[in-house]
Amino acid sequence: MRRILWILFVFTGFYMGLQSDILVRATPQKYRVFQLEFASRAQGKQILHAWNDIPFSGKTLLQVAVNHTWLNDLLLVLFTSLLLLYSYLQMQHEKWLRLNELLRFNLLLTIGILLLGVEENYLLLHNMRHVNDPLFYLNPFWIAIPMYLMAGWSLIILIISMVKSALKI
Amino acid sequence: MAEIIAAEIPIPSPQAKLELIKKLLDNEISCSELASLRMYINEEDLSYIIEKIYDLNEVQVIKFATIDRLVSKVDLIKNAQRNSKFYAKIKKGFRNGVNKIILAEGDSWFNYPIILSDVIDWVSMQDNLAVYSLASGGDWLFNMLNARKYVEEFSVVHPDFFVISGGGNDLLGSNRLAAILEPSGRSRELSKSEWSGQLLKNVQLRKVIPLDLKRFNEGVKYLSKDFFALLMFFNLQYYFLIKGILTDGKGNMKLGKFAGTKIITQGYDYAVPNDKIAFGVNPLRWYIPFIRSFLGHGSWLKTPLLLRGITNQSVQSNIIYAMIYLFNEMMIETGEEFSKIPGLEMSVFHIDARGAVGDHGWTDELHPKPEHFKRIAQTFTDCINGLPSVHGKVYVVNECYPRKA
Repeated sequence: MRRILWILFVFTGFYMGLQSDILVRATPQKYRVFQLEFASRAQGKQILHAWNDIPFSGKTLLQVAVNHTWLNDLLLVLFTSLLLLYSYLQMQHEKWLRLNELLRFNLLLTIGILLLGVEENYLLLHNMRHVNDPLFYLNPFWIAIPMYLMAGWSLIILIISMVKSALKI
Repeated sequence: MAEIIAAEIPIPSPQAKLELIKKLLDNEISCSELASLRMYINEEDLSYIIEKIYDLNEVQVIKFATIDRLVSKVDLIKNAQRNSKFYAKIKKGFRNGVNKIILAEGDSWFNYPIILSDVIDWVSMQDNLAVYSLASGGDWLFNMLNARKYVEEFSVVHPDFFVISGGGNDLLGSNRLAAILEPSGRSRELSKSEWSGQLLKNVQLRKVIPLDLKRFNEGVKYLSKDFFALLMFFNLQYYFLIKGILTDGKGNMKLGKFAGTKIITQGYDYAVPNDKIAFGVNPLRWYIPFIRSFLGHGSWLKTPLLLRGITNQSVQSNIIYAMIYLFNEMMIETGEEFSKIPGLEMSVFHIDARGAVGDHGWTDELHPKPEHFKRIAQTFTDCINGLPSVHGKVYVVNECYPRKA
């Protein structure tokens, strides 16, 4: 199960990397979808318009960004599945009670990351769909921040526990 | 190996055995009669007894004792992971005469689905212990004996220790608690039960866990004859199980193939009847309201007690106190029966978790928080590693690892 998840995760990540590369190379300002997550309202609209103005493969670069964002949902599911699985498995090895509890907390955080991530992607897709409606821009910044904080925290706890186990502390 | 003949106890005829079983069900059996029954009980007799205690037929008993399918799947996954870890240790030359191999069979104290780190989780973390697990949350002792999965694994795994946790679901699953209560609070079954009386006399001699007489007396008067029958039934089941492992399983008590295996039992702690969800402010305890909301909290103790009209919280707690007190004494007594057999003096141990968890240490009605599961597991580990106990073969969790205030 773990192997399948990793294979899918790596392939999806690789493909998304290629899409991101297209977006970066094709825009003079080298915009990425990642930047869109933290951009201000004005900046976000600017990025979307830049992509929408550049033709690509019969449509525009914006379609690449749309596909990238859909794939991000899959990557999110794979990432959170791996995080959940590893946190759970590591919890079975963690003797320190406090770390054991924090790994248990990771199980909840993982659900939070998934929900926030899906919501964030929904906002990004909404903005891409309404690129020509300037009043309909919804800033994903306030969802992205807690999501990345939760993901970062969970990974740190997991890594600390794994290193501790490996060093037999 | 020493040959032991149980010459003192005559083999009862089938009719005589049935009479003894009827006496047990009526809580009128004497100690010597129970000893006779215990020596020659078999699986059919045990099945018959539980059908009578619960007023069910065989099909219904099996249906009630069957674990929920989803829980069963999750248990299997967790056991598969544990057993994979077991074999990983074995492949690295784990069996070297110093490390210990453990076979675990039991209920949710030994296999809690996903969220909590249960007793076996903590025990498995020890580098010198490899645990092969057959435990399933929600499993009945009755099921464990019937399925006999541990029998197959004994021959394969050849454990140094066999740890077992069972009886909780037989007692409390599917609202069964409601069936063994006397709601009037005027039960005199304790005074009728010679065997339970003997258990309480032994409490004074052993002095393992002091008896809170006030709580006990208030609780025991709500326990019906079915509870005492069930208590003796547990004694028969555990005796039958342990006899099958340590001896040749026949009445002559000859030492068996696995006589060298040490057996460790446990008897739970004083659970608190409760159906409150308990949302709190500590995010690390997020699992408590989650588990309480979705995994049966309130249905094991509180609801059955209310079903029988026992509404006073203090009385409810004291009923559980009396039950668990006697259950643990029964376990200790069962182990003591084997210490009388030459060659088996140090074969059966008991982890006494009475008072270990405390009123506020529970995730839900029946399962301690991880830190208390850890303390119980540490006590198991001490026993397995041969650390001495002041109580001989009984290890008291609260003495080995006192609860922090």
